[in-house]
Amino acid sequence: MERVKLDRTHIGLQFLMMLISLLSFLVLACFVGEIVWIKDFQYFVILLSGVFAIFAGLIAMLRYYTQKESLTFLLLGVGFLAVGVLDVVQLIIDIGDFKNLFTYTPGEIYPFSSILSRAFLSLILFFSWVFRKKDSKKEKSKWNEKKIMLFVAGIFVLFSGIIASLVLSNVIEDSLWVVFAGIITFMFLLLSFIGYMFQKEWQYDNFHFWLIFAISFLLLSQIFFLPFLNLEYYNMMNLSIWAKFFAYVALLVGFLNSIYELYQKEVLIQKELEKKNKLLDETKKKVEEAYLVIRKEKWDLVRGEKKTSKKRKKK
Amino acid sequence: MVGTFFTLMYYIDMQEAGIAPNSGIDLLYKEQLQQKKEEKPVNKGFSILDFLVILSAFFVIGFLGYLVLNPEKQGADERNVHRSADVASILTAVSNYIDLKGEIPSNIPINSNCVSVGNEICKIGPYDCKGLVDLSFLTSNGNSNGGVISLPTDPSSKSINGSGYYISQDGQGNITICAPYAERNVDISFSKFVF
Repeated sequence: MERVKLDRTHIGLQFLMMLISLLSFLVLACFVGEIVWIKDFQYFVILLSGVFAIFAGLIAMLRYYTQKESLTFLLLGVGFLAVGVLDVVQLIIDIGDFKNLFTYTPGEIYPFSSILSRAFLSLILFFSWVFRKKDSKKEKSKWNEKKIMLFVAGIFVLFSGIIASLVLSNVIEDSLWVVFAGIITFMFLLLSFIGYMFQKEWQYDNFHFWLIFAISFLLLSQIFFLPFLNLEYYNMMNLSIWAKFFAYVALLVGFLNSIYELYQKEVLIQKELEKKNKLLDETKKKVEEAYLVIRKEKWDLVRGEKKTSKKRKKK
Repeated sequence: MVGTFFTLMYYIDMQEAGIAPNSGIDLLYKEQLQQKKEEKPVNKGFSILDFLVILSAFFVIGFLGYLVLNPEKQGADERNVHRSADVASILTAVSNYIDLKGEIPSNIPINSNCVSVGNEICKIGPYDCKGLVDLSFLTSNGNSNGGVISLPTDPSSKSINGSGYYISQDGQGNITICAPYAERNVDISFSKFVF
């Protein structure tokens, strides 16, 4: 089936909306110095983000199993489930209420646990772009569901292992490590963003626009996470977590939109099929009518011939 | 008029294609013609929407650049440093005066909350200090053993008579001086136990 490009105005408006959202966020960041944040704002948003990530993961899985057309949805689905779990784990190890479960002081490993969840998400998005590239080239992929599940599980175990080792060991004094990991995460996100932009799938598919929207907010989140802006530390962290939350919401909207479009496409195909059937019936009727007319004409002709032959005989 | 023209064109097309009117193929043909009519011409030009998208992208990059420098925060930080220095110098002067006189001046109000009405320090000079705390005794004119030359004022204070800094004591020997106009949620408040 030939792919149809989306309307140019529609695409323009989508990107304008994205840029205005980013701009609004940055304008807010300019005035954030005078804002008094609610108590435990970060924990609240991290919890919401975790819930949204798990929800987005489930929706992506649902989208994949509704129509198994691209492994990207599966990768993103499993990845987001894991990201949700990592976010919630980060929250648990960071708040004081669970301190009896661990052998460290809450808040001690905060930036490390936070960067691991971000790095994991950036890797998932980067690999989703790589898989999508293969899908669009119609190459016969060596990957299948089982391999993808194992791949994500492998990265997840690796990241959980790093968190566990950080919790159990006391070698987490140098925060330069966080900045380095943050820059690597930023680079992966930037690569995914550029990759998806140049792949131009957003010209055909609304989901890819929402994916780009989410990546752009994740990039913003990472910029606020890294210590390059001239803002207070707590403001940067709050804005970073908030931007990450917006990214999750955008991706969730993208998955829901994709499912909606899938069903909408089904309805259209059904309507098209009905129309084609109707046309076929009408053509069939016309052919039958034509056949009857021809048969009648043929009979008339035959009768006319018989009559003339009888007259000839009489003569 | 336009409708008649299209109908005429349609019948001419039909004759050229050799299709009998009102047959099944004819209906398909009609549909194709309708689709052709509905197809909008592709606008390859530079629209106002494209312009807005590019402009917004520049704004996003510009705001990021602005946040890297953030001159507003830099200015606020500098003013806060100035306030801290002012508060510290006033507290030192008050403490020295108390050390010299052996008592806390009675015009320093007793209040557990530093930022309260009536706790603002009055500017020194020809100002009306009614409802404000007059610390003119701290200046060299009022204190022969050396004090501050003049009382500093808050850089953001717009008060005519008030300095923008507040002073209070808790009645148990603690003097607190604070700067409520401190920017970016910074709390500038210094206390000292004088005796």
